[in-house]
Amino acid sequence: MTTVNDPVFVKDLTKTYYDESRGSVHAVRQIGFTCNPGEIFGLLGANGAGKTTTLRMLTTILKPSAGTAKIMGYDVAEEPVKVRRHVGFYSATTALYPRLTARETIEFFARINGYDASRTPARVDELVERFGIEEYARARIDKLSSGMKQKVAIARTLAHDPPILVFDEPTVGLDVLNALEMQAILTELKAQGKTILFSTHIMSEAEKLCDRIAIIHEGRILASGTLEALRERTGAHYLEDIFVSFIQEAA
Amino acid sequence: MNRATIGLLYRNEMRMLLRDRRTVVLSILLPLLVLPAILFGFKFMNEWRQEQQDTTTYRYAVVGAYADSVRALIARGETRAAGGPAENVDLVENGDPAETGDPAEDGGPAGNAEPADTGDDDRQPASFLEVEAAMPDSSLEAGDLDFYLEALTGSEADSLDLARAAADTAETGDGDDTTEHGEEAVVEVTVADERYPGVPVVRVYYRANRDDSRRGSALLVDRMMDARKQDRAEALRESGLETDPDEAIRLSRVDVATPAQAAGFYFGRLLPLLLVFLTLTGASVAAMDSVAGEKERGSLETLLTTSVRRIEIIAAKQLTILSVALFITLAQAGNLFVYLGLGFIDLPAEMDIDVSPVAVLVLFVMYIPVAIVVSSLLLLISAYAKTYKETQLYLLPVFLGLMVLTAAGLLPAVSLRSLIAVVPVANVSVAVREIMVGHYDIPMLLVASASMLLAAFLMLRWSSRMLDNERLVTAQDMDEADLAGGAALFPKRVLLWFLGMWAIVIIAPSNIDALTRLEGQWAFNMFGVFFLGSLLMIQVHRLDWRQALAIRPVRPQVWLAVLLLVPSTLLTGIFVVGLSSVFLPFPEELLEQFASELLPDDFPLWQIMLMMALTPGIVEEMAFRGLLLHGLHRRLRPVVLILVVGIIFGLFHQALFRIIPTTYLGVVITTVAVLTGSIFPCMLLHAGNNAFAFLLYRYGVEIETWPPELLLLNVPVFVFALYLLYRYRTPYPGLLPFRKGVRGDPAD
Repeated sequence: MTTVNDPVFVKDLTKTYYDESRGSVHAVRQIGFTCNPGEIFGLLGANGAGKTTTLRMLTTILKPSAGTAKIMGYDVAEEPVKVRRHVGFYSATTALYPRLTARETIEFFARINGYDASRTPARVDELVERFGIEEYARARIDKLSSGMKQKVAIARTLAHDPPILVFDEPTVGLDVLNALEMQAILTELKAQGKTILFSTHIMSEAEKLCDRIAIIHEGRILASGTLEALRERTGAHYLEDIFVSFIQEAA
Repeated sequence: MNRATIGLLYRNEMRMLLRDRRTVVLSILLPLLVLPAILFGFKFMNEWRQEQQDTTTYRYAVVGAYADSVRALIARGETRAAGGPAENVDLVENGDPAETGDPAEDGGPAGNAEPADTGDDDRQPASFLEVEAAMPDSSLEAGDLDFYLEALTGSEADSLDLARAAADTAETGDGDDTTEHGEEAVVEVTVADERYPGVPVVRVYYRANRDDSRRGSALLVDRMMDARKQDRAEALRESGLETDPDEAIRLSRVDVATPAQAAGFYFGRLLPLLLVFLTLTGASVAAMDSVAGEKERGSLETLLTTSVRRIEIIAAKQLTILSVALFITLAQAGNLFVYLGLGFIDLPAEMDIDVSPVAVLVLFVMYIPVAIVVSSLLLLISAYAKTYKETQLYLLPVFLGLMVLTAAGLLPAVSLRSLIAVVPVANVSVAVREIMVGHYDIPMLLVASASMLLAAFLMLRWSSRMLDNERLVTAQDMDEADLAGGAALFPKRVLLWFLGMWAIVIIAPSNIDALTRLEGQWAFNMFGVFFLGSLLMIQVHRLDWRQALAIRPVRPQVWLAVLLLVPSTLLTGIFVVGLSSVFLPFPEELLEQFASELLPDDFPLWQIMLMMALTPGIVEEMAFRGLLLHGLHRRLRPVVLILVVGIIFGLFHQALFRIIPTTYLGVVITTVAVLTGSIFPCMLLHAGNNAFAFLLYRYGVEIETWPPELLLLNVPVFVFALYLLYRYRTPYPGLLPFRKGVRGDPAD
């Protein structure tokens, strides 16, 4: 049952903004969903469907035009600082500081998110070891390869040990091996009890990782539920067919 | 705000900043080295110049029937210069101390740092060599001569005077001492301007564009005058007169300022420009990297997902940029103290300033608010821009604007005890000049500091709001227009176009001979810049010309309103001009020159109306209320839009004293454009305003002398005309809402 005490609670969330060249843009229209503790919830949609705008609202980068969104019971509009303290946000557009080292980066993001100063060095060591970045932990980020940067970026996201993790298209632009590594990390984090909200336009990825999926199209959630439930509703087996079926129904 | 968080962010910012080689060079090394480099440069230049003076032999020729007597006079002058102490010759008969004063001062600003004792001039070491010159004019032109003297006997001079008098009757008003050579930049120095018949004349021809020519001729004239003075004294003594008639009243100028104060006056004018320039250069690098750079790299979004508040991010970034600005200021204060205060460099007299530790401290304290304002402004720009490139685009006008404000210290006769005390940056510039001559006006210094701190506070608040503006933070939409190009790109490029046009309008007249006169400039600006520029913008961005030029019909009542606005805008403008002259005094002579060059009395009225009213009314409106307004109307809210278009219009009217009145006119016309959505009423108002103004000038109507009540009567007409426009408005299509919160604006 849906409650405001769920790790992620979204109701009638809307985002409309004014663009110089396009006029009023309705990026997200009255969407609603919840995430249960320790599950991976996937937002599946094509480019421009409203996934990133939704996740940006949930991480307080953007302010909702209407509706409610709560993270660990904190309203994103009213208590943004508390929301951010409980969230780790990773996306292809959230870059690292090129002139810091990997170690400095993890340390900085742990401290800035309120992680206890005395425990920070141990936390940094733990993450450096977990992601196997000991060798280049003292190298500047701008000297690292994209694969290494990706690992540092995930370590940065986890630095303050948040209960909720938001991954916005985390495998975009990655090669197969790195994408698989990313999927393994997500599974491992889930196993640690983290609640993961995850957006993608790659069907196989959603099929493989997500406990529940919401299909988002033109700012609206067309359907949400487990893969099995979605199969039942459409009669299709593959997620790709399920996705197309909902899009056609909406059209 | 959490101080520990700000501290953490600040340390991180500084760490990154100090790891950037470009920032280190521009923000640390350059500011540390520029002042010593300038001072050492002055020192070496001065020594080199002195050496040149010591070793230079000035070549001259003497021509004319009276040459031998002149040679004898020169010889006596040289003997006196080489001999014992000269008599005080500060009674310069030529009447122009700039020409005959200390040659070392010739290059400096007129009236600045005049020598304390001009009597020392003719004792400067110099050697002269007379050479033969059959064609002295050509030799001077070719550089074979530094100058030459034309010595005329009394009768020759008399006949020349008669010829000149005849020529003068043909050319009225030519009563100066310019000869036919004068037109070719050869300036004549006569030993006496008025002479009795039969008195010989010596003219010294030199070229003011050559150092040796100017200096050598001035030195030789001084020596000749000294010798002549001595001759006269001796002649008078021989006649039994013990006292020189010139000495009946002993006249002398006594400079009670210490040389250090005089030097401080000179240096104090330049110091603010140097400081603001260095602060802007160094801090802008830090500012660009800190916000716009972070946006471009995407790390700002990362930071915004952390549990820090936006105001804390802004505060830390502000502290970082401020640290750079303060470091630069401190470095300059330290440099001043070390190199000038402690006399680390043996400087020439005009740079030998008495910089006490108190003066350095006061200067540093005065510059703290400047550093805050500059850093806030830079942060504001960097927060507003989405990319490095965009920041650089906005920086240029801000840079120029700040330098113009800083140049207030160069304005003569402006003291801190005036309205300038509340004009940010300009007030500090004037204050520094006063401090450098040892004048501490404490109450006004406090007023200036308070005004600066207020400006800094307002900008800080503004920049904090910028990071709340989602459109400016998130990166996903930023390149859409760039990719689309054409008309979609025009709003992003329109300011660049106008910056380019402005640069052309400013630079071209000083580099193209044909544009040195005002009518040449007029033709170039109207057709070469505004008309061609407008056509190019339409062509390059593939704009719909009807939309871009606001070709739309208006309601009939609008025409009545505009007809009422024509005189009332001008009359209301008189108040604005009156107000603006408090800050920028109206230079009457410039205005006269402007009017006489552009509006010769013999021009037929229709021609003046065509040039001054109709053409600008059409062409300037195409550019400003057409393309500029079209480009900006979806980027700025209406009130800001009207102000920005008005200000840009004003800035194109280069002369400083014309900017405020034309900005005012620009604001009124843009208001008409915004209310009517059409260019036609703007054209009528612009042309009507110009025509009215020039008719008043032509027929000598001086509105400034009218009683204020009469001018006040005009205000209701002005207001009524604006009301009519509002009542029958057909607003400019696609304007942004007047306030936030409408139409789902991203700044909600």
